[in-house]
Amino acid sequence: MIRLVDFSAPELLAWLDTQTDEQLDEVPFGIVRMTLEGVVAGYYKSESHITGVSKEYAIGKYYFTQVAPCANNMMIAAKYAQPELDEELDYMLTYVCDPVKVRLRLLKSTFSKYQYFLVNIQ
Amino acid sequence: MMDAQLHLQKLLPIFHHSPLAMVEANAEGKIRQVNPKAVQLMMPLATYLDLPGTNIIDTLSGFIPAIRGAIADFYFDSGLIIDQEPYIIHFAYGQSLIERHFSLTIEKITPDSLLFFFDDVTDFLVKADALRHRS
Repeated sequence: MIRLVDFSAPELLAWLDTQTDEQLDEVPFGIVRMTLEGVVAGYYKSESHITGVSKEYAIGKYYFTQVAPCANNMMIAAKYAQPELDEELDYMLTYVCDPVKVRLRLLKSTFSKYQYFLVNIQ
Repeated sequence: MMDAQLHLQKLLPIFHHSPLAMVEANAEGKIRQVNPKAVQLMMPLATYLDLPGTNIIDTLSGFIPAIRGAIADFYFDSGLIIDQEPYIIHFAYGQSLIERHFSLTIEKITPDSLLFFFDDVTDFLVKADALRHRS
């Protein structure tokens, strides 16, 4: 059984890096695991519940241009150009056509081969 | 004959992938339906105004004050309120001062339903200008 993990926990990125796809499917908030080029490497259950996008559709696509163009702006996507990133902010995503208020956490570090986009429903 | 519901479902990808921002809101501007392009363009504006981004009239009128009056003064039950009008929007993000050119259309569908179509045409204008200089 996976231990409960807090959305705002410090050192979360290091913890995410050690988790399998099956373990990340059990996390109660949305998680997108991307390569450093922004290609979706993991799209987990809670994220699919929030956005309505399936794992099969998302995997292998460029996240900010092909899966979540709503986040392709200076507030979100542009920040991943930094080598280190750990920021929380309020935002809006869409579930099909419905607006969904969310809290985002953007994570990237030089020690990880992945970057993460985390989503918590508000 | 195809079921109407199925027709509507087939329209969803068009709405979702449209390069034009589209919002459907009630008469007060509360967003009921929105596509990803609209969220992409609108959220930096809403954040700059310290708004949650759930009301399109509040967000856009923070940069284009005239639209609130245009909507309020439009007394027909339906029709075009603003038709592809160009607007220049200025805001700051971090240390950067940003100027973007928007095209905006607002249509009233019913007394309690407004459609907003908008786009950031800044890059288009730059390309059009370059094309003019080349020819």
